[in-house]
Amino acid sequence: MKLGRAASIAVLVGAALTVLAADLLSPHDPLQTFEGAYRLPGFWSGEAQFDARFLLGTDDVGRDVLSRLIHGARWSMLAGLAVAALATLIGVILGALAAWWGRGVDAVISRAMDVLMALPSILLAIVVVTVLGPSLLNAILAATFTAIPGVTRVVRAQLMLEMSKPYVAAARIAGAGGFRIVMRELLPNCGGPILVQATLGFGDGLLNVAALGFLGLGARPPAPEWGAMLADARGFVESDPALVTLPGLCIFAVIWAFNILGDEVRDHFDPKTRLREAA
Amino acid sequence: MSGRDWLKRLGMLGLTLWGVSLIAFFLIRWVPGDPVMLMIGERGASPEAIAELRARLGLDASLPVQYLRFATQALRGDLGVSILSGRPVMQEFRERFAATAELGGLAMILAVLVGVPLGVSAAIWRGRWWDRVATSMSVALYSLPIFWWGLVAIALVSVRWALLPVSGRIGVEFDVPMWSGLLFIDVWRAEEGGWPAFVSALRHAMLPALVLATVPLAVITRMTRSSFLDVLNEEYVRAARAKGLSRPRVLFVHALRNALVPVVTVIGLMLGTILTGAILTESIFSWPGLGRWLVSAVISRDYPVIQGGVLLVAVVVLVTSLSVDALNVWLSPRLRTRGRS
Repeated sequence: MKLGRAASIAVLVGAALTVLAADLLSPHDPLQTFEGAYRLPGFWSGEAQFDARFLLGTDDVGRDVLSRLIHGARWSMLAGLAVAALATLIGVILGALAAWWGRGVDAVISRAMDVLMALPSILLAIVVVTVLGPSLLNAILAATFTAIPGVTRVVRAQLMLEMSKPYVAAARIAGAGGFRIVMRELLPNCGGPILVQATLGFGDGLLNVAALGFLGLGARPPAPEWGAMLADARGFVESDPALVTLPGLCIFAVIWAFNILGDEVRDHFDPKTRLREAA
Repeated sequence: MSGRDWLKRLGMLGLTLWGVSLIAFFLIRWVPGDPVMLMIGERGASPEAIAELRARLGLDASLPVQYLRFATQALRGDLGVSILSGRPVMQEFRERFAATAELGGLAMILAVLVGVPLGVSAAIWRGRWWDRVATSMSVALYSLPIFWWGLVAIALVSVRWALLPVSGRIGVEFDVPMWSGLLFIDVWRAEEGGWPAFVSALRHAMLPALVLATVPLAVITRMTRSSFLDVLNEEYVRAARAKGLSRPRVLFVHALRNALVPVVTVIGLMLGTILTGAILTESIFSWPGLGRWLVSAVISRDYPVIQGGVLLVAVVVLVTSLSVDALNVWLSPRLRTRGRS
């Protein structure tokens, strides 16, 4: 698995650098249309139409595919980050409220999460985006909305497990208030599972935002978000497969890297697997 | 779990369904634009005609009254008629559900047929190259964006190699009357059905099912592997080996049966994943299932279809998860006795 770990770190570092230095790396403006340079092939084709200015070719309106992919990293990665951060924040608050106050609060929060989980998540996201109007921000909100129940459940279960431990009683006897115990004692001890959820949530968030973009409910054209690029290229899947293949490969590579990373984080925090590896 | 626990679970299920009905009802009405204006469209109509249409659809009443009407009718098993097609929501759901079930069922069969042997073999040859291949493949499949992979599959398999049809459920030359809604069954009742029709239906379902099966296949492989590894560490497996039983007998008779218990749970709980995947798969392959039905109902603001359809989907998901729990209790005696102490 060492190879996988190295590859996933390489993908993530590369993606992060691309996000930071997109303007430096991309050879052209992602929105600039080059007249007469429509759907030029990439370097692999070996055809005469290949133009060295456009390494990966151009799309149907003459925009440089490489530049769009590089800037797309910015849109898609930040969307994933936003979904993971927002969903983790809200999920931790809801989960902590449910676990610590219990009874009525717990019942209301837990039933609400049951309800959200009983609905197919992409359908929920579609309805939320239709209500708010299609845009990247609203797609992020919709993806966050569908990610909250998972985080809430994990945080709640983990906190309940920790609450039965003696150090919590000790803190209570020492006179610590509920807020202090949750923030200073309980949550730091649940860091592992929450981190695992957040890591996997990044990949899921990116995937869901891209899926909404693919359905025409995410980033508006001409924004170079990867899912939206796929939707644009859908009509050329037969004549110009590279236009479909490249953005999909980017989405796949980043999600794959996050899933590998999530596994690593989980193994690191799960004593059971650590024992098993040692045995 | 005792009888009281089950009653409590049933009560919670009712409560959850009530919440789903509230969300489905109010969320779709919060979407801008109402069905009457969409039906009239560009042509326009007199205000009287609009008011009459609105009254006929029951949209003139206040929202709480509309909700009460919907809820009381739903309790009696009547979910109203679709605004768009004028047909009962229940009947449309049955047809659409059958189409999705056919696709999802085939995907699940593929996932189990490949995933279980893959997971078992990975566990047996743990740490070897085969285990690495199976584990990496499972992570890779899990990370495939289903909407992209569907497009690539169509481009390669259907268009370039022309191996399988691009979309639809069965070839146009076959006229199969609906009976169960499952084409794999209905072809045997049709006059021009039989083997050619069955093969045609199978060929149409194969590619979307393969696309839909990727995530379940990854999860099943992973779950089978880790569950099998856990079982191999159990005392009784060592005891069985010690008493002289052959390795294959221990692996496949003693270990496998117990290892499959958590796998069965995962299969049941993956229904939600299948439904979500089906929405994307159906939109790529023009498969006339639940996903496409609900998405087009959102677009046309078909209120009865949305509120009724979402409620029925939730019933299916919740009842399945309850049945999986019941099956688990029945399979493992430990859970059965725990409630009594």
